[in-house]
Parts: sequence; structure tokens; C-alpha cells
Amino acid sequence: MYLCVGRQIQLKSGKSWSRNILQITEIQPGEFIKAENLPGGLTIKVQMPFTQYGISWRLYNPLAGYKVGDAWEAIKNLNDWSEFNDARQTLNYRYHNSFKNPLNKEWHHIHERSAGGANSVENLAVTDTINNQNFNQWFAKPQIGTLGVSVRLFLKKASAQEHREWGYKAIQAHGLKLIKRDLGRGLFQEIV
Amino acid sequence: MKVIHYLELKLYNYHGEITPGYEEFISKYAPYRHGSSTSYIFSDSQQLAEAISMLTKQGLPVEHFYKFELATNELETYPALYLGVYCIFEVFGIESGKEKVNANILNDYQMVQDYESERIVVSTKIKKILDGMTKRLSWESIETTNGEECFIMEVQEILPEPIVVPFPVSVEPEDPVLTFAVRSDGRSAITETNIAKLREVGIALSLDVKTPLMVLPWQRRLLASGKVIKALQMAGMKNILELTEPLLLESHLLIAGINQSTEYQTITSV
Repeated sequence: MYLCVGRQIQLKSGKSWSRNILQITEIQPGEFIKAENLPGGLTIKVQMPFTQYGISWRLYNPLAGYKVGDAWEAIKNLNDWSEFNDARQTLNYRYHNSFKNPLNKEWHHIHERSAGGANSVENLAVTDTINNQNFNQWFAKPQIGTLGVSVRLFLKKASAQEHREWGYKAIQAHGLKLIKRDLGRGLFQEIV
Repeated sequence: MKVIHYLELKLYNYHGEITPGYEEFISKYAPYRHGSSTSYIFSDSQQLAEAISMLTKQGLPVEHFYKFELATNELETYPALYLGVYCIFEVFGIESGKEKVNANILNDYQMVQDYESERIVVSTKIKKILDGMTKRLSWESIETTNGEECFIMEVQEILPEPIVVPFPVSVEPEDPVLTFAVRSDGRSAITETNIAKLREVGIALSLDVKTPLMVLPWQRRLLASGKVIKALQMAGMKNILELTEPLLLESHLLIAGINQSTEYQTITSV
């Protein structure tokens, strides 16, 4: 492992690795590293001990985890994926001809992923990271008509159609629009 | 209490273009538009009526919602508000085989609800405040991932009468338990009996709702007196006023005269 200030790391998030990429700002050899996130979005600063390497943090490899060859051919023309990583890789390709997320952008699940939302063209839309964070907060709180219950809980047993309708409300409430696009590499949606 | 009227419009089609027919409305009512959202906000009822009239004459769909805001000096003495709680995924996690509360989440919110289990967790600071001014809350101590103590809060008191929702926008049955997701146009009212209960206990649960046709079990809601909300606000609880919403009294002009002559059928949970 070669470490130097400026190299990028990822933190563990639950059972997988976070999509937030941090940059090393200080190294105390044999003890810890300090890192913070790239400009844009919320400020995150961490201090990670060397003993936690591979457990709580790791060096970021931008091409790790992407499907190539036949595996890529098998997912690139789908419009519905069982794995979010496959959906993201394909939709990023369709959006900007790269497997990586565009800088400061994320793929937002209109019907929230943790509430059972699909990894599909219809349910995913690329948007600014800050919008994704705002939508998350919007769903966490009560809104007009839910009478004191957070939208997320209000929809807990609702149909996919209702989740989707509230997903549109969240987009509209932030003064944004959902647009379907195709740049010649396949269909995707964008929130602008 | 200030009454704010929200008109929700279907301004855009799926290509992000303005739906034909709305152009004149958008131009005329631009000052009332809430940012660049699809909501228009009115506090004057005459202007509101004119705006609705313009839309309906052109056959354009519009939804009318109400929002109620208390003045700063009204909060402490207001009898009843919904106490919303931030609902977050994965508030709980397992660390070394033991269930713990995510310290970052709790530090951020101080009072937070876990999506999956629907348990509400509060910081020690919030527990102290609620302990001093409520009755029959039960607490279970649990450790955060930082090793600090926090508490799972359970509300034991239940309001004796349903909350009144005279104009439900939608009533959807929930599977598998027989409860209903009731969305209102923003208006809901509390009875005098329930107010007396809240005055006595500070925080209580509502388990049912009275709609124009029947009384239904609904998703449980927390209600609190203004005194409790004020204390949480003074303690610096994050965005507490965004989470709360005052209920109207049954005598309020926007409620009175509605539902008085309807016979109710009661559906109970199974």
C-alpha cells in the first residue's frame, strides 16, 4: 500500500464501501491518517488508524467493482437491474460515457432504495449531490397533509405508485424537474 | 395563528415542458410562486379565490392545501400539536454483537425514529426535559456507538378520542395490519376531551381518525402540548418547528359545522 497526502480513500458504510471519496490530508506513519471530502457537499473530516485499513477504510480504486467484457455486455442494454452498482455503471455510461459518477452528482432513487425502490431507468435520475441530500431530508420529515408523520413512514406500506407520486412531489417541492433523456447510448433520467 | 394556503399545480409534463394552459397563470401569479416549485402560496383569501377561479375556468387541475403557523408567543400555550420525528434508515446497528444507536445520527437529531423498527431514540438531554413535564413515558437505556447512553422512548398514553380530519385527500388501507394512511388537505382538529388529556400528560398517541364517513385506525401519531414543544425548542432540538404542526380546535371556522350530522361506523384494528 502506497500512501501519500492527496491519495483518495473510501470509508466502510454498513456492509459496503461508501460512495463518498475522501482525500488524505495528513499522515502519521504507523498511527493514523487524516482525510476530508473533496469540495462540494457536506464537509466530512475523519481520522482513521492504520490498524483499521481494509476494515473501516481503504484506498479508492476508481475502476474496482465495474463490470467489463461479457459481464458488461450483459447489463448495458437493460433498463432494470437487480444490483444498484450495475444500474449506476450503466446509467453513468449513458449519461457521460464513463462508469464513474459525474463530479458532485449522484443517482437518486425516486422511490427510495431503502424503502424497496427499484434500480431501474424509471426510478433513477442523476442529480446534484446536494439535491439527493435535500430529498433525503424531505422524506425524513412530515409534509403538508401527512399530519405529523414523516413522509417515509407515511409511505411505509404504500404501493409503488404512491411512492413514485411522492417522489415527484419531493422533486417539485425543490423547484426541480424530472426529464427523460437519451444521448445515443440509451435512456436515462435527469433531475434539473 | 396564521393560515397559509398552498395551491399545488401540475405545471410540467414528463419532458419538463410547461403544461399548455398554465402560461397565463404562471405569468399573472409569479409573485406568489414558492421559489421555482409547483406551489403557489396565498395568505389573502380574496386573491386565493381569484387564483382558483382562474384555474378552474380553464379546466386546469389544482389541489388546495392548508398550513397553520403559530406566532412565537402562541406556542407555549397552544393546546395540541403533532410532534413529528425525523425518520431515518438504520438508526440501530450491531457492534460486537450488541445493538447500538448510531452516535452520528443521534448527535445530529437528538430525537430520531428508526424506519424499520419505528422505535424513537432520544438523547439524555431530551429525556431529562420530557421526564420533567410529561407522564407515562417509558424509557429503555441503550448505548450509542460512541459509548454514550441514550434512550428508547415509548409513549404509553393514548388519546381517548379520534383526531378529526374533515377533508381527507386520500384514505388508503395498509397491508397487512388494518390501519389506514389518511392524507388531509392540511386541516385536522382535536376534541376538548383530547386537549384535556394532553394538558394532563404532555405527550400522547393518536390511534384513530374521524373522517367524514367513519372512524378509522390510522398510523400512530405523537401529539404534544405547546408547552412540551416549547421546552424542546428551548433545548435546541433541531428544526423542531418544522416537525410540528398545530391542530385546529373543533370550533375553528375552517372546521366548525363539518361532520356534525354524520353517523359514524367504527373500524377497529385486527
